[in-house]
Amino acid sequence: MMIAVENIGFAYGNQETVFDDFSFTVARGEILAVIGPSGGGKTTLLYLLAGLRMPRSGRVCIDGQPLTRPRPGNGLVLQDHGLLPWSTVRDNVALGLKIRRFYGPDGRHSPNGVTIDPAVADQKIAYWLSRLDIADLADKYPTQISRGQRQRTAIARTMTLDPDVLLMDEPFSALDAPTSENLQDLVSGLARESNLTTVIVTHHIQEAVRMGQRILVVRRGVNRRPQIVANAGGDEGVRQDPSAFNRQCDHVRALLGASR
Amino acid sequence: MTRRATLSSALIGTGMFFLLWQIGAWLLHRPILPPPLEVLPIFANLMAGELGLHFAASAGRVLAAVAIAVVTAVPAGLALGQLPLLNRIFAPLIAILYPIPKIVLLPVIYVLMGITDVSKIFLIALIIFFQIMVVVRDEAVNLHPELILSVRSLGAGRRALFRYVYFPASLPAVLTALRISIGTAVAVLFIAEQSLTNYGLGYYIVVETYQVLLYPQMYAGILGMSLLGVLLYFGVYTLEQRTNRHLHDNGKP
Repeated sequence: MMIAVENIGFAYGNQETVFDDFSFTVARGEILAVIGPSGGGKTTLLYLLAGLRMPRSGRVCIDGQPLTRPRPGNGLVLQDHGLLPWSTVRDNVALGLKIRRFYGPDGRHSPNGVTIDPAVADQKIAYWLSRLDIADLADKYPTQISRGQRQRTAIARTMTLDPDVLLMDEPFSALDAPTSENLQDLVSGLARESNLTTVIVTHHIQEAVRMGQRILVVRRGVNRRPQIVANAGGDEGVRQDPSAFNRQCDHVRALLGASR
Repeated sequence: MTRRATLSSALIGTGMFFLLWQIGAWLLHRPILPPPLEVLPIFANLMAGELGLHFAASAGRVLAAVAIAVVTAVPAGLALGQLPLLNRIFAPLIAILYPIPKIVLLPVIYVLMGITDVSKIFLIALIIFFQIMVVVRDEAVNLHPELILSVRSLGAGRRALFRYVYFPASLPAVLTALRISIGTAVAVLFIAEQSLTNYGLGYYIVVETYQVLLYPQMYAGILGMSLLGVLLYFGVYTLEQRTNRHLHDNGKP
């Protein structure tokens, strides 16, 4: 198992518990979609997987190691505001590699034994700029490009670090439908191609059904037993068959309704 | 504004300044206002010697004060902006201290810190410190938590966050605060240099020229002080233009 969430408990301050004795796993290379109402703990769950928040009880293991801080192999893409507004697209994509060079391979901020040769770093940056189709925008600032292009920049920045886990928090929610679907397919493709274990948080049912190989439905209030729906998302068959796709969407919608 | 436009407007401004001065000198026709054509050669002459030393002393004091203020105020402002509890505790105190004219503390500082350059530099640093700390704090409060989280997820610790996020985020505000407070800093310098020192433009203007009625030389000193203010102002302005590029060419593609 790439990600193992083991009996975690979590609450903010003195507020109501969000997770209690909550467990699930994600296999290596799998895409798990997490869906739920706002305030349902989706983002909290993602931050727990990212090591940006710590559970009160239980633990999160990634690749067999208990998580105690942000892990160098985790890539995180948020809905918005993740880019440095004063840096160009190229400098934003280069940021992760710069930070790694700044600290050196200490195992804490970047993987042990991985030194970054500036020439190789430049090659990687150029590769991901063109792979995500933003090479033409490399000298623009984030305010000068569209939301979809900003999200491509954020994905490129994460991919330059060769992550094995990709965590995304409503990455396509602020985008119009065609741009969003385009990027969903792009990410599914990247995940398959690099055998990335992916957790994508969303509140769009179609997005969850399109992308997830399984779908985790979280609820408002306390989450104890995970509701996981098997889903052949990412599978061309389901996507090509509108009635199967819609049936699956209705199924997830019913679960969401029941969890409210 | 482009660099050329800035330069030409500075030249036009300087030309108008000297023109008005000349007209004033003609109209007043008294020794207290000598014409610029009499003062400028003296200024050029003195800057190569004695006045140059006074200028260097004053410039050194302001620059040292600016450096001390920036180095202390930026971390303090960032800490206040990012730690709400700390800000809640200190905000009332800062609100009271901020508008107090720090120059009134001059005698206290002289007594406590001695009659040395240290006390003069400290006073000027104190004034700039508050200006910078307040703007950096307000800037740090407005940083998106998502930005910090996503940079942390790239592996950034405290040091890298400072270098790649906090510092560049607050730099434009720091420079704006500096540009605005530089005038006050030079004014306070003038007052602080009038006594208890043998070097500095304030000392030169008041003690070496004004009190012995050397009016043209006094004007050379005033020109020196003005030049110091103008150079600092445009120096900061130029830095500001460079760091704010992402805010300026903001046209949609």
